[in-house]
Amino acid sequence: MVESKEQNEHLRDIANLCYRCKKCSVICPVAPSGRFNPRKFIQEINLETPGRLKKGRKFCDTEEDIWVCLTCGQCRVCPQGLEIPEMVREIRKEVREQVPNDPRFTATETHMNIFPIAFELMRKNPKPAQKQTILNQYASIQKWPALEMAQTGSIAYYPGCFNLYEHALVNLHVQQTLTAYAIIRFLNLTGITPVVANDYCCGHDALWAGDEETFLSFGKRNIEIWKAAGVKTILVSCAEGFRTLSVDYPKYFPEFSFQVEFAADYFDRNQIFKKIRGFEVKCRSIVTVHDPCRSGRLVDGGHYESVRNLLQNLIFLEIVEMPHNRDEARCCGVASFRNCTDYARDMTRKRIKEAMKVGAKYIVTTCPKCVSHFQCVTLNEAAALKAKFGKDPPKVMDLFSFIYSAYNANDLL
Amino acid sequence: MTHDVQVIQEQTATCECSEKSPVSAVTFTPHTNEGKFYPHILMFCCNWCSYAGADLAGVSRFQYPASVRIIRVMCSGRIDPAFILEGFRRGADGVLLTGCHIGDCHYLKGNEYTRDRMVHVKPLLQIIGINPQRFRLEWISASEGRKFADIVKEFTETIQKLGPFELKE
Repeated sequence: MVESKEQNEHLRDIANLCYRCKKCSVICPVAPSGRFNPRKFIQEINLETPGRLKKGRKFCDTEEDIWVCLTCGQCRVCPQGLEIPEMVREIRKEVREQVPNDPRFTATETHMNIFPIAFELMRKNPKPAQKQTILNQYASIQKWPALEMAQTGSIAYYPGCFNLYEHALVNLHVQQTLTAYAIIRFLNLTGITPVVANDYCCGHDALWAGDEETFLSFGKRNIEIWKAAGVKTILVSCAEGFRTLSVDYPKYFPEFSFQVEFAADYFDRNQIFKKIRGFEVKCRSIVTVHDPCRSGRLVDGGHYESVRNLLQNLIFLEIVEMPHNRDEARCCGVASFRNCTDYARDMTRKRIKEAMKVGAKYIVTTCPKCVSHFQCVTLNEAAALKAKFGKDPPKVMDLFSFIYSAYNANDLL
Repeated sequence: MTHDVQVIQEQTATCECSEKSPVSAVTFTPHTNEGKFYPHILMFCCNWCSYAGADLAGVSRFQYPASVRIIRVMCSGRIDPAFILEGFRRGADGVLLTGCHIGDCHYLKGNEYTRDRMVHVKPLLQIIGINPQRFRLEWISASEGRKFADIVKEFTETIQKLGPFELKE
């Protein structure tokens, strides 16, 4: 068969390692929905291996709906070390090549498909967004001090898709611009002027939806831009951007030679807040940390402690932990802005209930997508949650926007 | 001057209630004549006010440039920011969204939703790298035929100054 050559042989060799312990099926949050099961998925790959039962069988003909998978990586408990999210991604790519308009794929569209359209426009539009101008406009609207940003230099801050979610998902208060502003402002206060280039989206969503072409086009242009700016270290605050830049870029682009650092790690390692004069921020509140999959399980050595260490800088702040934290953190419910079903919303609700049970007033996370999904439930179902728990649902904020809001108000209740 | 306008029928999944509903839309082809640029402007008109305003402009024989392609919707509240981006993706040089004046909406509050939602469209265009002047939101009532013609004329001039919106593969 022609397919067997084109198909990813390596992937299929790995799939043979599975000894069907079902650990992944037990932990998978979407397995109870009956539409996707990691163990069955591995079995399907094994079945189509050349020389096995059904020769030339295509994955797209099987019943497993790979588009339902959240790629949250909870199945990485596998004792054989199978990386099921990566395999799902490879198979998605194959399926999209074999069946360009897979009805199961188009059925996963959300938000009127605004994000794929926006990414396509970004890819085809020769004029990039002027990020420095946008940030300084934001500062002048808020009447905050203007930011110092460089065009060239060794250390860069990568805002990623920047304020796209904030303005595409109206009324959800994702506050992405605030996050970018906060990081650059804190760096400025310690005397660092980061480079903010007019770079593009990292291509995370396209890659995980099996659209490698868009991902490659973004990556190529970003690398050119960073090289032209003479960048050596790139700080990324968004969990998805961090995963894409630190794991996927070196894999796809051999010329990628930059050092990528998670912004929380950088702030923790260099003790940025201790260096800021007069940084005595009071915050009498209770906060819990939601660990996103992209900065945790899906990158080596999850970046959990730096986020908590940074929160320790706020005086009077009580940090509580949810029962499922760090490597076992539950998924926020939706990945890549696809497949937002009742089932997914139920998962988001479960996670919020978990936070409410430990008495958190704020959920702090580092992924703008987690923020938007949690906000969608806490804002739309505030009355129902209040009736059940007798208090308001927690507010959801990004780590740096939380710290900056506390810093600005000097007391965030 | 030729009009290279093509109406295409497409099957798109729009919402969860209906599995698939047909969507027809207008595509544009690049359009210059004797060195002068005639923009393609996608215009959304609400059924109750702006579309009637367009009618009045026509009946009263007010002259306005033939640059707009009007899509009638029942209420301006129907328009999602995704539609505006989709318009740009399909080659529009500008998008004009019109509805009833605030307080006059046939569905009481539809245009208030539009107003709140469209605040975010200009920053959204900015981050994609599109000049925010290419989008405009206006209120036109059924009796404002003159205003309709003026806005179309003015907006066409703005777009002509900005030049064509081009996408590269």
